[in-house]
Amino acid sequence: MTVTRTVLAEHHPPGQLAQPVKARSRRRRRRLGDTLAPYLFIAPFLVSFLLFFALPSVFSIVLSFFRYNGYTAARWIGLQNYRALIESPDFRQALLNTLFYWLVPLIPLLGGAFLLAVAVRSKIAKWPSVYKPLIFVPQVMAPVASALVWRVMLSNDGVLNSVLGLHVNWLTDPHFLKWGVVLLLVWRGLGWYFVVFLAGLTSVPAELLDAAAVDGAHAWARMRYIILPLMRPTILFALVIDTIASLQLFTEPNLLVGGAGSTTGAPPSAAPVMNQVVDNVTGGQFGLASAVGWLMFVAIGVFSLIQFRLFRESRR
Amino acid sequence: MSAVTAPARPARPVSQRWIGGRGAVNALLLGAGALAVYPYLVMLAGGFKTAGELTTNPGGAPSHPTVGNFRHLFSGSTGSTMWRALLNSVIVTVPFTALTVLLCAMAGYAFAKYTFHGRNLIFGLLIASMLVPVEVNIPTLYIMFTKINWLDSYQVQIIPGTASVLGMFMVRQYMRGLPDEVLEAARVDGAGHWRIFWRIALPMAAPVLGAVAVLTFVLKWSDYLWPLIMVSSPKYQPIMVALPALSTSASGFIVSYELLLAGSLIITVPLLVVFLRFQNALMNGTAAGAVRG
Repeated sequence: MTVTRTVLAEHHPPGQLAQPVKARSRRRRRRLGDTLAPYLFIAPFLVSFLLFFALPSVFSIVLSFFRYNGYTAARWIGLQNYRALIESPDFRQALLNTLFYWLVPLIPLLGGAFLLAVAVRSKIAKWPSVYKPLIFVPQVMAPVASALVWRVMLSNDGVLNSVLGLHVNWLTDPHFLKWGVVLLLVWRGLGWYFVVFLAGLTSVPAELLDAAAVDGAHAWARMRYIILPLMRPTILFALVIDTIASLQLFTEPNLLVGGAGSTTGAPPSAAPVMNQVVDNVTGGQFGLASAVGWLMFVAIGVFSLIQFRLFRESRR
Repeated sequence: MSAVTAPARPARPVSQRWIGGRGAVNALLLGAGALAVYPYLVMLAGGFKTAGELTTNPGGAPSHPTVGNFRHLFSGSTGSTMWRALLNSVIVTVPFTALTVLLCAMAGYAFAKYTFHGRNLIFGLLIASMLVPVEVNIPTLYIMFTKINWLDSYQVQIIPGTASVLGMFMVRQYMRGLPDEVLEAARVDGAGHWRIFWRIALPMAAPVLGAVAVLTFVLKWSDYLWPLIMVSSPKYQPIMVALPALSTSASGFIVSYELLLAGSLIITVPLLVVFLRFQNALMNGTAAGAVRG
């Protein structure tokens, strides 16, 4: 039915029969407009994307092979920026810190969010609709505010120490700095993955679970053979997003355990890799800063690829 | 299919056992909900406490609530910085959000409803670019904005970043579901491309545009890294940068925690209002990419 209407419209545009000559030129103009229209619609987006994302990315690859301070001429130095980074103890420590912030919260974040999502969907939860906004709400607090609030909560006379009866210097003891950040990351991030998993669970039909249960499949069997396989794309998505977000981490560690004053306040033992970019930009070492960025890109690419591979393979 | 058969079935007796004890599940959920909300309560209560009470009673309700912290933050020289920074945040966030929604809507519409040369290639490249982290661009953008004198301005906070690939993707996914017949009917009636987009496609896509707007607003309002690097003077600084800087400079080395909590409360209120009003748009936007993977 749709097809006929379209065809009819093509053959008899209004006015064609009455004024054939005028209509033909108008039709040609319209055909040109038809071709151009989609490009005009994407043009503003593409211009913004090219100017402020794509071109700067390409230039930064080039820049990463130069020594450039912003005002004197750039000098080609090959791979020296990359070598300097790999040999720098601060960079290596920052890399380890970022890996810590990625891997340590991974299980509590994704596992906890998955468990909670399954619990909410399990039909034995009271008020399931209440939990979605309730568990998501930490995500609403800006990273700045959440870091400042946790800074107060983790202070010596703060809530955590007084409730648990501890005397831990979360904000100054080098052994605990990163663990405080992990607490903040798990608190703030859990709701995000929870909502993602809730959405993913809608792809698991309740009828299928009921049928399996009737056939005698126990809770674990249903989890293992129905829920997990159907959730695989969602879990993969969550893993990739978590990797990207973790490697770009900046605000939380710096505002939670940073000292007074400076922009990248976290001490070296807790500073994320992002600080290497920011410090080198403000220090006028643009080539070095670009090299940090591209090393991070390679890391994200490799980790994402591994995750895709793992999930592809186990699908067979 | 299930709509017909479902009511006939008895009320799911077996599935009730599919994870374990009812009490354990509800206790787990209640505990998680309480832990999620508790820092909000600490912030809310702490903002109204004196410095002394915050030390002796860090987690409970204030015994003598005071608005002294807010008065301190919003009066005198501190106050002028804070008011200015709040104003800057609004000046930056509102146009940025409007611009982002417009660009995403236009591009998403074209990718959803037109076939054109290079469509799949451009779309694929845009999606792939989501793997490129912001770190990569910051050095070159910093140099670029130095050269064109954009550092320390409003435009550096409003124009870059408006081409949100995620937002465009969300609009495109939604608009693919709009019925072609309606657009075609408008075309037959003589409506031009822009008119069809503006008058017909946009109103029909209102839910996803709302989701993109809310998501963009929340992310932009909360942004710390970008203004920290690109903006240095209080004249253009948003509240997210001004507040943490204030706490350290105003009181020297000792951070006044009660002021931090009061300030955090202030910068969180707009986000909470948006969340309470548009919570479904925000949460569905969050999960947008999840189902399709």
